[in-house]
Amino acid sequence: MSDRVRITHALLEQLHAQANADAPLETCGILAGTDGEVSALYPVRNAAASATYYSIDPAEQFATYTTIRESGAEVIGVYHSHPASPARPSATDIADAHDPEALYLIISLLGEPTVRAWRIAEGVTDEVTIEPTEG
Amino acid sequence: MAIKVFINGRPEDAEAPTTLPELLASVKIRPEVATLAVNKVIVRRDDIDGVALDDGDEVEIMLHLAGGSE
Repeated sequence: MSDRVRITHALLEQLHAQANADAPLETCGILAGTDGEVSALYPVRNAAASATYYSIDPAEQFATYTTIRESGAEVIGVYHSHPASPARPSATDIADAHDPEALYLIISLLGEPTVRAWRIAEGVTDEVTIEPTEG
Repeated sequence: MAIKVFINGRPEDAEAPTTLPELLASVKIRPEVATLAVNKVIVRRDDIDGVALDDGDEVEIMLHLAGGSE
């Protein structure tokens, strides 16, 4: 698994826009691409409709995964926002992370909006360096 | 008898007869943290134990996605 991930400025802007539009609730979605590169974002509904929690409905998750696979891409992770806290995994994020290979991307709206990426395995977080690219 | 099943789109060899719980155990995934679909149909949690897999079956294992800022 790569310790770096490329993502275009346009997709980063899309993440900020979605997080701002859904604030004060947490927003969420699925990341498509390859190991080391995010190629598309698939926004999904936050089934929890909460300012401090997100969950993705299994049926919507299945439909999104199917759409991504049919496009020829791979599911590489998930993203969500922290409307009022930093872009690092909370205790809840760590406890609810079940996929050690997934990229967990967090958008913070606290202060200057920021995006950081992580892998979470067995309670341990490792930051993945985001490399913004043109586009 | 050797069969091939597709897990999240990737072919994997298995030995028939194989059940969905056996497949999950082989990939070290607990059913309570995943939504499962076989041949594009979601399997209800209560039905998992009874699902036998055949050659060519497509299994989707979707680990639950949740978390939060607190």
